[in-house]
Amino acid sequence: MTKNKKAEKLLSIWWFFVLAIIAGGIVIGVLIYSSSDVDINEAEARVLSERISNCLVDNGHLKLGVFESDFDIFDFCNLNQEVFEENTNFYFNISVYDSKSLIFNLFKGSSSFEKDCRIGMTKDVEAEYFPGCSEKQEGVLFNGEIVRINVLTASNQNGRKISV
Amino acid sequence: MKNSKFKTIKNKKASIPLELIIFLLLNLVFFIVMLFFAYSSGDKEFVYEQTLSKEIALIIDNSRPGTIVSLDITRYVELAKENKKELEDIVKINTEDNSVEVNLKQSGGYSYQYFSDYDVSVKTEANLLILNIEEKIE
Repeated sequence: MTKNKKAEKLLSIWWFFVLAIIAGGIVIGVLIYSSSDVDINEAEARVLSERISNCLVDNGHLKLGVFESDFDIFDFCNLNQEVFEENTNFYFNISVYDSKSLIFNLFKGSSSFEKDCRIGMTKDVEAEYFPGCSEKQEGVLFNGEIVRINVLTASNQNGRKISV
Repeated sequence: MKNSKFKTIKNKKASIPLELIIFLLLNLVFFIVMLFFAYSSGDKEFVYEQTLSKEIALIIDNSRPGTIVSLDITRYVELAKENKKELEDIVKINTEDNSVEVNLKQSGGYSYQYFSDYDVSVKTEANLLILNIEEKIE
């Protein structure tokens, strides 16, 4: 009788309850780990803004070809045009200002990202599905005048599972 | 009197109750099962495929034409060998989609896009992945 009581104490319903909680925790932890995403959107946006400003600016001078009528940013900066079509995962916006106003503006990709980036940058909001953004500003010379170039880039790529 | 009390304590210490042994054994079995589950059930290939494809995409986008990058992929090769996957098929460049496809299992894989318009070729030499990034010739 006393033996049974001791056994009941050790193998009580609470003990099974504790084990169930531990097991649940481990299962949830494993599932979260195995389905986790490595987010490199911000790094990708930074690489894109570096790439664009490096190809437009040479030794502190804005390249002459930028203002020509047949200027093709994709050819100029070795970017794939199809990747930057509307409703894709990438976006960039290049603005050039002189001392008075905006003199050049070019944007490609998912334009809705611009708003998301502004919200994220100004309000310091962290939203799960917002794109990773990067903004680079620098003063450069063009025709002996200082102009300000602003490159905003965004990436919201998730990658995808493939079935081969 | 004193002697008899000492004897009973000694006897108690010597015998571990059966219910305690069962309790400890059940605990041990439970934790072994949990450890085994944690080790085997996680789809580690998916995490590895994801990290490698993203790493390669970032390398491509960060490179200038004419760059050759050599990447140590020992742990990926080990996983591919475990899954009987050919080493040449681990990394593929999909030129239509402009993406890097990594595949460490017999089926499935992970694909990640890069934004550069380069001609990229990959080859595997032992545990090294050689990426050759060239300007695209139209």
